[in-house]
Amino acid sequence: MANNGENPSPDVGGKTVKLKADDGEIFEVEEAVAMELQTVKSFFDDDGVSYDTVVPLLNVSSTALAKVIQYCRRAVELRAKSGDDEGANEKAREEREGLEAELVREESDEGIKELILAANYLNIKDMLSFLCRAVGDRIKNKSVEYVRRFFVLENDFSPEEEERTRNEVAWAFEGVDAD
Amino acid sequence: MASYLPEDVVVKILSRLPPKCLIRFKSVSKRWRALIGNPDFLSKNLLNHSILTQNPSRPLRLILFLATEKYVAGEQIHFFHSFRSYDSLRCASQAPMNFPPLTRHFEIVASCNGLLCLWDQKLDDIYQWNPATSSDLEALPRAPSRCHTRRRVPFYDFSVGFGFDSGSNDFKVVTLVDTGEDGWLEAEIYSLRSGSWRLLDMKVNFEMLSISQTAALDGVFLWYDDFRFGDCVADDRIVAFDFTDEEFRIMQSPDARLFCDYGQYTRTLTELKGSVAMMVFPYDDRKKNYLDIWVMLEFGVSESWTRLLIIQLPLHLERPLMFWKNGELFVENSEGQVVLYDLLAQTEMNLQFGGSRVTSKVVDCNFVQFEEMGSGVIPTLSCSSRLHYATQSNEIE
Repeated sequence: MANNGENPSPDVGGKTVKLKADDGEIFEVEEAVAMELQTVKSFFDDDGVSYDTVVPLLNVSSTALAKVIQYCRRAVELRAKSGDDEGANEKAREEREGLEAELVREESDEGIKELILAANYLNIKDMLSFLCRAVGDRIKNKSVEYVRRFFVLENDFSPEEEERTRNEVAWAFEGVDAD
Repeated sequence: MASYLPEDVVVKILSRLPPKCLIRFKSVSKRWRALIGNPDFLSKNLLNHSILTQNPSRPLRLILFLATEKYVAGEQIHFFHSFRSYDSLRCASQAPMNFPPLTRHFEIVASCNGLLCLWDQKLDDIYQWNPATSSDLEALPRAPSRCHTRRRVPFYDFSVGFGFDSGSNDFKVVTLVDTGEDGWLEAEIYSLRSGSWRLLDMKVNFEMLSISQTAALDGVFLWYDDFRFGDCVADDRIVAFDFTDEEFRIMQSPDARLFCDYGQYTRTLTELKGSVAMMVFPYDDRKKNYLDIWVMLEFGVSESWTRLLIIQLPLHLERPLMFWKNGELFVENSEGQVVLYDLLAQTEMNLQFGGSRVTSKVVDCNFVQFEEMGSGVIPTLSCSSRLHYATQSNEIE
């Protein structure tokens, strides 16, 4: 299958791995980058699975997978840069934080959830960690109603119960962003 | 179609939120209410995890243990000390920490980024001391209100606070002076950078009739009138001074009517993970030895006082002093020794340090890199300060 335009063919010489998103689109990725996805790594750790095998990632959309790959590629590059030098480490850390911020900056709530689900399914620890932190920052000052919509949760309290709780801890409801 | 996140991911997200947020989100659904849980020291839930891990400790942190020597009739009473690593509580051996010849009348006002402020209560002299560089106390110029020659009743009309103004990168000393008119207090402020005092415009009304309990944290200094030993009055107040705004704020303490069954009790203000905490415990009456711990989850919001724990302490553990890393507590026992008490496991460890009874102090010294800044050496701030001071001294003359 043809490569996605956003995912140019890697240089000849490195091993590559083929990943298939939920819509059938195939991404050819350098081995080092593919191994950032623990789910993919486990797939190949099984005996007898050849590197030519296309990895089916049924729960990940192609949009999300493209972003994940882009992030992991940069993350691998940055990790290669850091070493014993504290200055270089510091710079690499800053760059990684910039990369993370870039990833979530333009994302809608739905988009960021899709990324979280992808990072969770693909078992990419660092990515899941910063995405959770980003969502935490997003919802920190939000109302209860906003949070219910974001997480798609039903309000199973009775009106009386809810009223009582809000009065008991009214201070916690101060300073909340308007929806 | 809106995506639904699995619960373990939800927990990951919630585990990073501050207590106020989690308390609000208990109203999201019954499941979230169960996940977040109730505030109390002993349960492992998201809320307690948030309260106890809010402000992780920074490196280069030392604790200073102080006590006065066991009293010998006629002898000048001195402090003796031990600097210990915050992490391990072992004696700090690397940089020798200097210790000045402090006498009985010194109070440690507060410790702030490695700089300590001391107050000689007999003469009302105020000093700064940097243990990393010197054993000399550096005297501040005399506070204007102290330049009068009238004799004053000790402790009743003057009090000293100390803290850091992160806005102007300056250490400041503030005094509360009783004008003698119906509880109105004036304030003077000294800036280390300018080397001079000035009178603040604002007055605050607060009865300062006795040694106030004080505490320092994050650019703020607090006074609490601990005058009433056991009166069930609902209007106990705390005065807070912000060193950056240079403003006073009055807050309520937890409703004292909750302590009516306690008999004679007293309170200590302290700090728990960056929040103001209050410990209520018996005064003199040793038939029962409870410890009631409250924390103000949102600074300045009196309604956010939340009870974390009521626990029975062993009878010999008399005076709570300061919280340690994971919510363990330094307590002074009936022999005047400092003990580390684990509130969850209910086990204790004697730190083999102590002096006369009711004289132990524990001071959290945060040392950061020092750099020359303008005139003299002023410690620089890389993150905001976390401080504690609490004491209750008995006159043993």
